[in-house]
Amino acid sequence: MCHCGVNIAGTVDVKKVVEEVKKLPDVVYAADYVYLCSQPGQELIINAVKEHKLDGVVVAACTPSLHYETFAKAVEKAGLNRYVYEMVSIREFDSWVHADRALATEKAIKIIATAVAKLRGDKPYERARLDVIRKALVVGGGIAGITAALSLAKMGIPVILVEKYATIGGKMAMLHETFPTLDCAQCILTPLMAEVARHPLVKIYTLAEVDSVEGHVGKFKVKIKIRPRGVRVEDCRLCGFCERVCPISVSSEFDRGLSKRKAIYIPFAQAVPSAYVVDFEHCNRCGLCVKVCPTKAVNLEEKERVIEEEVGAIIVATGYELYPLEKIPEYSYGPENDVIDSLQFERILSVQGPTRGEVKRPSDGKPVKRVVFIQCVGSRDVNHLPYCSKICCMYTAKHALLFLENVPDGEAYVFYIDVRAAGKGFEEFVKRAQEHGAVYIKGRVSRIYKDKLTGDVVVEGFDLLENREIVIRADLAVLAPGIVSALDKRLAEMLKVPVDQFMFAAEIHPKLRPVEVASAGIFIAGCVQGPKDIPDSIAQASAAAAKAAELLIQGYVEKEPIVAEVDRDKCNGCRACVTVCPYGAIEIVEGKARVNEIVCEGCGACTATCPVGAIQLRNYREEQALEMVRAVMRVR
Amino acid sequence: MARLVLSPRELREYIREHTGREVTACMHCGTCSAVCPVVNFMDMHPAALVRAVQRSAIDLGNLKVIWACISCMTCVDKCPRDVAPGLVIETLRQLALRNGIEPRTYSQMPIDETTPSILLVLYSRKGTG
Ligand SMILES: Cc1cc2nc3c(=O)[nH]c(=O)nc-3n(C[C@H](O)[C@H](O)[C@H](O)COP(=O)(O)OP(=O)(O)OC[C@H]3O[C@@H](n4cnc5c(N)ncnc54)[C@H](O)[C@@H]3O)c2cc1C
Ligand code: SF4
Ligand code: SF4
Ligand code: SF4
Repeated sequence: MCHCGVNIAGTVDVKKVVEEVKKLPDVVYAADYVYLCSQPGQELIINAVKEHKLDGVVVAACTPSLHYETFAKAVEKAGLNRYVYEMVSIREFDSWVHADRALATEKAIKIIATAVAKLRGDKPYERARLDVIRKALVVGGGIAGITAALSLAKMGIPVILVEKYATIGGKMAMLHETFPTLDCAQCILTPLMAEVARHPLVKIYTLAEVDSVEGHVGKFKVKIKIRPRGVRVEDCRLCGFCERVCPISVSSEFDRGLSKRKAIYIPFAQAVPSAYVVDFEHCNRCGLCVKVCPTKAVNLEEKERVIEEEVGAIIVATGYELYPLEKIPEYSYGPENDVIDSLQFERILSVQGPTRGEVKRPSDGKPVKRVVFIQCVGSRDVNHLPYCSKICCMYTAKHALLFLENVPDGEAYVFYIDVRAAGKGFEEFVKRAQEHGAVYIKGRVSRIYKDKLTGDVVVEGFDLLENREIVIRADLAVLAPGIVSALDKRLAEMLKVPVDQFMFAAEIHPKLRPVEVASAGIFIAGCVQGPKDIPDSIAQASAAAAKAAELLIQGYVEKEPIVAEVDRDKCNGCRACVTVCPYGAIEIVEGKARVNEIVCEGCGACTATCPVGAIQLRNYREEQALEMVRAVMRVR
Repeated sequence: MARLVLSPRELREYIREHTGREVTACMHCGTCSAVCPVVNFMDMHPAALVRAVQRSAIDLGNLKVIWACISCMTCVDKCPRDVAPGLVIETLRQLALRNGIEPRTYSQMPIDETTPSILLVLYSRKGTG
């Protein structure tokens, strides 16, 4: 028992506690010391174990979160198993929170008595040590996934990067310039894309999706389904002959439907991998491209394949999508109505986009002079998404500014609820847009429609500061839809990512552990965790890479043996435990529950649920708990 | 009847009791005022009314919005914070009637070609508490 200077001894009568504890059943030896955590204090424990041939130790001191490990090491040094040692807090739970010396002393005795009672049922266990495969899987090749993959590779860890689209780059590749500094998105992104593609330790699979994940931290078996590209990457020289002869023309997903592409195409010039791709859904197999390709790179017979990889950790960076605007019919979303979403506006601004950077109406190509931006479309609304999408205030300010720079005699109106510009340089950036002439209207838009006679886009709303209805006849309306997670339920389950009600990945601790989730070995980065901008995505991806590297570089994980155990005689196979286990550690084998010791985190949810008491946590068995309660009752 | 004598807290509780809604949750977005089909016929638009209700700064006897509201409940449907101004208005209207305040019938209202007919219908049937 420790005095912790006067921290404990100032309130608790230490000598009395020791005398009383000596009287408890099975207690062979009890002593106190001023600072047990000190070297001589630890020696005291070691010597006592050896001298009195003790088979269990209780330390009553500060708190386990501070010194559990210190005393566990001492106990091990003395030749005992660490699981037949208990540490109890008589500081935080007693001396620090009570003033009455007699009562605090009595409480200390009770606390120690419970530990002694529990110790009687404790059994020694060994920690399992499992090897970790030194390789990581990154799912999603946006800026977050690229950053994480590069960071890991630079630490010498091989990485598999799986991207479902034909190129990596994610949404950032679609952007024109980025707030608040207005660097050109492609100029800062494409060098990174090239770097990750070049890195010898990174293997990129595009047109690929994870098909199944088995195993656990340190050893995940992953099946990856790869759709055919139809073009051999090594042979494609980007001459574009194929594209010219292809008779099929469909709308381009990269330009979000604002331009056409062929059935053999390249999403954008700097795509990685740097090669054309066949859209097999639309290709009619006329074979013209095969004939014109000078390097015979086109192969329309290529089949889908499934490959298998083993990795030690997984970083999920699947990013975001925009809230589906069909759910807000009163805004008449659609390029044909000249009502577009914010990513379409990025494409219009882009010099590589459908209008080569000229701001024209999608419906008829008329130059745009007056544009209305609408913030919080679907966000901050209990009928749609109750959360704030965080980035749209900023990119709307950017859009207004870039538009006014692009069209000096133009007019830009922004409907807003609040302008949220909390970030370095953000408020200054919004001010810049406003100084440039963007008119901010505090209020909401009730409806938008295309005036068929004049071709105007009519935006009707209410101006709260002028206290009246407002109608703006514009050339273009740009909506800022909410940010939603690209994860779906099936994918989240497969990747073992716990999600919140909006399918955003749920971190294990929102403050202290922001890139880890409850499943060991799985990390998250970027917009999959919640709406965020590029700097935040990069910061989080770097953190996720560092956390994954901690695990992968160490090369092994040690598993606490305090896990659930099933009494197969009692278990009736009701599956109650299977449903409550947050880690998916329990399965039913031959009609009875079985715990995967590696996956189980020892949370005890199953033990509380089992109707017949068949599943128990090691060293936290029901009998032990009862003994502890009895011990408290017995004192005095 | 002159000014409402309820304190902001009392009025808020009264409205919660009658509608289940929380007037202080309003974030002053103006959606309700934007979607209201008769907002131009009101002395106080729905969002402004909700703000006034938060402070209990309303003169029930002279408030016209409670008679102009046609109870279409569009604002109730669209309010992003579930404040439901239409229900708040309904509550105030009943409070007014129970306090003996004369409803504004349609004989008292200005009628011209811009007056929507739905307003006439509603004016005529708003006399019951
Ligand atoms: C209109 C608009 C303008 C913006 N402007 C700016 C700006 O100026 N400055 C700024 O800092 N931020 C801006 N942003 C935010 C920026 O786009 C994001 O912060 C950034 O793209 C997030 O990167 P990410 O990697 O997390 O997600 P994403 O870019 O969405 O990348 C995710 C990747 O994962 C892939 N993927 C998804 N599901 C799977 C799957 N199942 N299997 C394999 N791959 C999958 C996707 O194809 C994609 O390539 C803007 C956003 C919008 C909408
Ligand atoms: S960031 Fe701005 S525009 Fe986007 S949801 Fe939040 S408040 Fe609305
Ligand atoms: S719609 Fe709801 S939240 Fe918005 S101003 Fe009206 S009452 Fe307030
Ligand atoms: S319920 Fe009343 S206040 Fe609300 S939208 Fe309809 S008329 Fe306007």
